[in-house]
Amino acid sequence: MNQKTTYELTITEKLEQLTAPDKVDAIWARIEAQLDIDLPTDDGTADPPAPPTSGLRKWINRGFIIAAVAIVLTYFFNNRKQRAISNNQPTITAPATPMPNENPVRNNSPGNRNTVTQENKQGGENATISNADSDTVTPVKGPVQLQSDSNAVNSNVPQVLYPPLVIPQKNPPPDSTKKGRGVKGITDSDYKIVPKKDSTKP
Amino acid sequence: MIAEALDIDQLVEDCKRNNRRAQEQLFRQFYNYAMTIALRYSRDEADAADIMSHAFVKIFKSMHTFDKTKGALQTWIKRIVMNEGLDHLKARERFSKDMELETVEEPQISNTVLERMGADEIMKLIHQLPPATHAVFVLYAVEGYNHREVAEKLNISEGTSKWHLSEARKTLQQQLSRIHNG
Repeated sequence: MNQKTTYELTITEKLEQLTAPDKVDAIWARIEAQLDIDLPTDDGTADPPAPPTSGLRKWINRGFIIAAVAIVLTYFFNNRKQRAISNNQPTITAPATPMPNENPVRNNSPGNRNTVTQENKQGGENATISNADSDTVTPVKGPVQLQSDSNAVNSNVPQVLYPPLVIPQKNPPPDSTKKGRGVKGITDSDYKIVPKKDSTKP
Repeated sequence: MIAEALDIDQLVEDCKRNNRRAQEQLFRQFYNYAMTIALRYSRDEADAADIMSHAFVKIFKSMHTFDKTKGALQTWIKRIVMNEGLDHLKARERFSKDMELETVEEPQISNTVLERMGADEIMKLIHQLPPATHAVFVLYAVEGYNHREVAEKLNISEGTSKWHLSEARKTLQQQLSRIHNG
């Protein structure tokens, strides 16, 4: 600060007494018009500017988003991979054996006693499911996967290929009004199929 | 006094949220104070109105940077209006750095004549000064800055600031003598 002289003090005093011209409304109209362009309000055209997000918060948010995307992608690709593997493997489905107490209806058709599907009858040695002893067959729930028999494919013996037996996987809803049918003396264990390894071998 | 301070704090917070009514209220509350500052750096009222509108747009756009712990709102507003006024003066004339002076002569201005004059008349005398001389005179004689501070604000040397102050005093002396004799 400087040392003011007498005349400077007088000028300062006089200038402080200066009355502002009555232009407050006109000037505010100009300011408001400019603010409507630069800082529009909610009742105007756009939202007010958001306060700047702190750097740490911004990176945490980004981290969460990246992690979520990574989890979704991993789950998606794993699912696709499993589907591709299961489609490439030969599968034979066995009918889901109804539990004794759940479904009293029996299919006693003799042909169905050996409803074991075969991938390759010729290569019976390597078949994982056998129909040799129907009495010892244990029930299998759900699809049973068989390994393909490479020996049978390479064999020179002409093969007779049987189309794989397609069995519907879904059990029909139990009809409680029907009575149980079937031949007496056949128990539930007769329908059970047990996959045996090398069952054709002695 | 406390209630007024609370009101100002609330107004500032509302202005930070871009509340237009609060902005208008704040503008009206500080209009007289800011306008008298703007008039010191302007040629006329229209010029002062320009300074005011530009300054208050800046004030509202940068309101989120205002920190009351660092200074009063009034001081903050004054600084912005003053800088806007100096920008206006600089826009009118490129401040020359050629003229320099080591010492400023003591003024021979009649204080009695000044005392008889009204504020409007004194303001008119100052408005007649060339822009750079006008800026230096107001900063030094009215605002109370020293030559080093004036030189920093106007980006000129201290010698140039002294030269402009000397020129301002000479011009004012001539004008006042003419009024006194006439």
